[in-house]
Amino acid sequence: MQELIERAKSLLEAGQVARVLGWKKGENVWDAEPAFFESADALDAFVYNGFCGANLSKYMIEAGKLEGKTLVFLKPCDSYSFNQLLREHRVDREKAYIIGVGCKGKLAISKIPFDGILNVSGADYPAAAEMLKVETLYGDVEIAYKEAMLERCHVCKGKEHVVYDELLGESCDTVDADRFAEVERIEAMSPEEKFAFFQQELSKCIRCNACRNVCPACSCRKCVFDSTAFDSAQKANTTSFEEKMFHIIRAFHVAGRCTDCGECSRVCPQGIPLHLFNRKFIKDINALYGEYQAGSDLETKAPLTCFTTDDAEPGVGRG
Amino acid sequence: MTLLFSMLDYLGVEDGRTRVEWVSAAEGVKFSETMNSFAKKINELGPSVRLGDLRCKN
Amino acid sequence: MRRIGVFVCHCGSNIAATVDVKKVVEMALNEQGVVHAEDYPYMCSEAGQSRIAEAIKEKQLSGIVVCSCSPRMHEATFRKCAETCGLNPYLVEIANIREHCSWIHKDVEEATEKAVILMRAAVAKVHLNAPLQAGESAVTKRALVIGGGIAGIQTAIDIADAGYKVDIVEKTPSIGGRMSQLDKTFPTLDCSACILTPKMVEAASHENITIHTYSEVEKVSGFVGNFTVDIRKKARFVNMDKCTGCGVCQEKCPSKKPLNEFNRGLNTRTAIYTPFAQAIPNVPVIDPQSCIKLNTGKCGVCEKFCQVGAIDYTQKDEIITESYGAIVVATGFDTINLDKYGEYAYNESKDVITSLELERIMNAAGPTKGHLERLSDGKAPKEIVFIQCVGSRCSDQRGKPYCSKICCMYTAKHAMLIRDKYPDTNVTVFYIDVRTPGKNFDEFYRRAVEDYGVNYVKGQVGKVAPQPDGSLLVHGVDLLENKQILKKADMVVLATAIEPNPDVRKIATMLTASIDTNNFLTEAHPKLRPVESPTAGVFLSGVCQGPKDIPETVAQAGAAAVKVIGLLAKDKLKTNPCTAKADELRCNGCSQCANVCPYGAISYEVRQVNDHGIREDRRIAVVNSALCQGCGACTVTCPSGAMDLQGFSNRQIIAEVDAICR
Repeated sequence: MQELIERAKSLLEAGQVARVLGWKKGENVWDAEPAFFESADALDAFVYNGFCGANLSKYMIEAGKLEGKTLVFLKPCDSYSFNQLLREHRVDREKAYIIGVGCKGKLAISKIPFDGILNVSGADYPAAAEMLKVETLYGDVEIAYKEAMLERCHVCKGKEHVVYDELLGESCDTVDADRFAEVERIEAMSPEEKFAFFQQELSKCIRCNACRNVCPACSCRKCVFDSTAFDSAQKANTTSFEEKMFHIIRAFHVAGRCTDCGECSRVCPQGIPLHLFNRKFIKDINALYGEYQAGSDLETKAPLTCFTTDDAEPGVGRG
Repeated sequence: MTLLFSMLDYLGVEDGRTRVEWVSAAEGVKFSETMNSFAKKINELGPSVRLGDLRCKN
Repeated sequence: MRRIGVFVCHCGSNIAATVDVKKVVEMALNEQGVVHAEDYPYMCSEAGQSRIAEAIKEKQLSGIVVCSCSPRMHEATFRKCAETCGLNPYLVEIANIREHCSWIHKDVEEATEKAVILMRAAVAKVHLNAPLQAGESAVTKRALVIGGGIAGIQTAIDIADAGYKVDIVEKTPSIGGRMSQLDKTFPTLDCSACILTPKMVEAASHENITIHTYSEVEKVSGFVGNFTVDIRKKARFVNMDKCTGCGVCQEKCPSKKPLNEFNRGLNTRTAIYTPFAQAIPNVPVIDPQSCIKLNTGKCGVCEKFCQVGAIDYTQKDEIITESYGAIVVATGFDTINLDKYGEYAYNESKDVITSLELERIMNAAGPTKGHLERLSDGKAPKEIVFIQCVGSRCSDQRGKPYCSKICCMYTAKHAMLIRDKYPDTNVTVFYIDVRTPGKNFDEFYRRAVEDYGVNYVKGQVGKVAPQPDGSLLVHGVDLLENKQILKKADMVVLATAIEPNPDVRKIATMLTASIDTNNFLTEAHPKLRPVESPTAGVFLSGVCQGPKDIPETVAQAGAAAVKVIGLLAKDKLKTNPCTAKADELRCNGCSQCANVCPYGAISYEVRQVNDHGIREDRRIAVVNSALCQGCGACTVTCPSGAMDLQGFSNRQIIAEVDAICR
């Protein structure tokens, strides 16, 4: 982590970048939050550890409008999001100085199931201990790093950055599950079981819109859900809209552009497994239009906005 | 369309509620047969519980 | 809330017999916003329209719904009517209760219920109609004619005479086309070159016509009134400004192997050549495949003998870009390939020839200097058999399903000319039908039979078998005599089917002009619009649209010219305003819409946008409303919903669905 801070400071001091976009310490060790650092001194509050799950690429939309370059630290999964934003002309490549930072998997406090947690140690980077030590009000306990990892890290796409100006820090492989296993399990259920499952999960939604706000693919200047033009603007959870439509519509809007960065599930305060919708679309797109990973490069044509004669017939199986 | 219907299946929406058919303006008989059989199926399935009109009521 | 008037047409009994029009009027008055409703026998008539005009004035209507026939028939009529009353023409909606209702149902109750629903949907839609303004686009007053045969030449001359500039692009080294290869033309037996060359000269010397020979259209972009075309002028290796057409280069050229295309491969030509004596321009081209100098660096004889130094071996293809307001396709035809007709021995015997090859043989400027002789041994043929419909009217996959139209007449012509010049040569024609519908055509054919003794046999030929003694045994049937015929012939002429040049597919794609499975370009309406392509600004002239003879070609060429003149005479064209538009406050500039637009109508520009007080430069999608066809693909792709289709907006469509599902 020190290495990252030193590098950021030197770039700031040399005038190569006007500000740094990274993570800063929160009240607790697990509260790392995205932040802008305007000076070398400010960087004393910089942190990079196992709790830095936040994807910084979306902040570059606004940062690109400011004077001078912004140094942004991107984890491997974040770099896909950045590329996707580049494809859609939402960020200016020239305004970003990207340090591709290594990653050994990120943690979720919600996965550390103890009461009265005071501190978690072993999550620093690059150490990333195999066992995390958790100090609680009721005594010290241990939990394996892997067990506390975010769901998305178990199905990591790979630790190679797809866009960067320089690389810093080591990574290690964290994959130990099949990416589409959960989706397949649900697909195998009966329609009644499926409906019941989703009703139960989605009824928890409080329309905080955190998933939409954090999603890099959801970068529309004016979201359809904020617009009176579509009769779908809603802020408070007053009807069964959330259970029936909001999440499906959002997933459909980002289909083909979602890089599977996993932020939506991470930020949901209700713990709804939102990634199940996006992964379902990704699985279908792979099957229908060929393997496609959004954000992996700038040239490959997106499957939903281009046509080839191999494309699956619409309504396959429903005629 | 294909993606959307696959997602509706995933959510547990009944199979008969969605259908895709290519019908040209010159295929009048096919159009009427398609629409009549679809309307019949929908009536059999009854009112939709799992999929609703999402718009805010003014 | 609009004040809407609903007008229900009886259309005589077309609608009124199956739909209770009075009921529709009654139900219309119950709809929100409808302040006037009436029915009338013929809404599109002047009396009907004046009723609409009256209602607009009296009731201050701000929206019209006409329940009538398909909008394809009279939407324009009712729009104009509204406009003359000062109402924006796009505040008019048509509910089709004829093609979509009265013509497809029999039960009056059902049909009336459906008509009421259709009326409701139209009323719901018109509440949300915006007073759109048709845009304008300028017209470039220059026409392009693709193809320099008689069709292209005639069209160009007619357009040029009206005072407009025309360019002819012809891919062979000279204009003239198929007609320059013919000997005599039916039904007058005029010498083809004698009537064609004056027109060729007229075109070449006309101050408004520019001819690009040995050139091809490479790229077309734009839309009616504003086409941008790239033309590839292939390298002739001869400087056109210097060449005097003296012909010495052709006399001296040592490369004499290449087959002469103009003579259908029946003899050879030199590597540097003009296709025929009356070629325009009278400047030769060097065929790079067979030129010794261009292939090996040796020779250069033509350059040595050229007195004006016109030979230039370094010449390169040149691409020029021009702007046109209208494009006419006049690409003509060729005969089909006879490989699938092995039974006629065309590939085995030199004495089995096509009718076009016969034209070249009989032509005094042809490979045999006009002597009718067998190509195998040079002897005069005493028995000639003509076989009709080779490859035409074909019900299997070997040939073409259509009748090639010109063969009955030209075979009668050939038969008559041969009998006239060689009275002791017998001529037999095997036919299925004889089709001679034109002016003086039937009289012409009967002369061949009655005055010139041509033997017409109704029956087809199964096989032509070359014999060891050099003759051809023709095995056919005579259906009227009900017997088989075995005839020994010295020459067999096949009236081969014609088809459009396969290159025309490329041109049709470039112009997005509709083309059918036989490669004929499709006309906008088979009866009422024969010279226009459904694509605006593209017109059709000659055989590229369908088989036809010279009189019909010239007539159609004139018709195409008139359509072009009508277009070029306008200073501005009205563009359809029912096109897509991006709301600049909502557009992200993400480029998804441009990727799905089939017409390439969407581009992006950086604009300063004032979004509720925040001014910033944004990348916004911009739709070219002249190219946009209103398909709506961009509208559904747009993630933020910024893109919408004017005249068929998202809200309007949902309003219609709601009205139907009430």
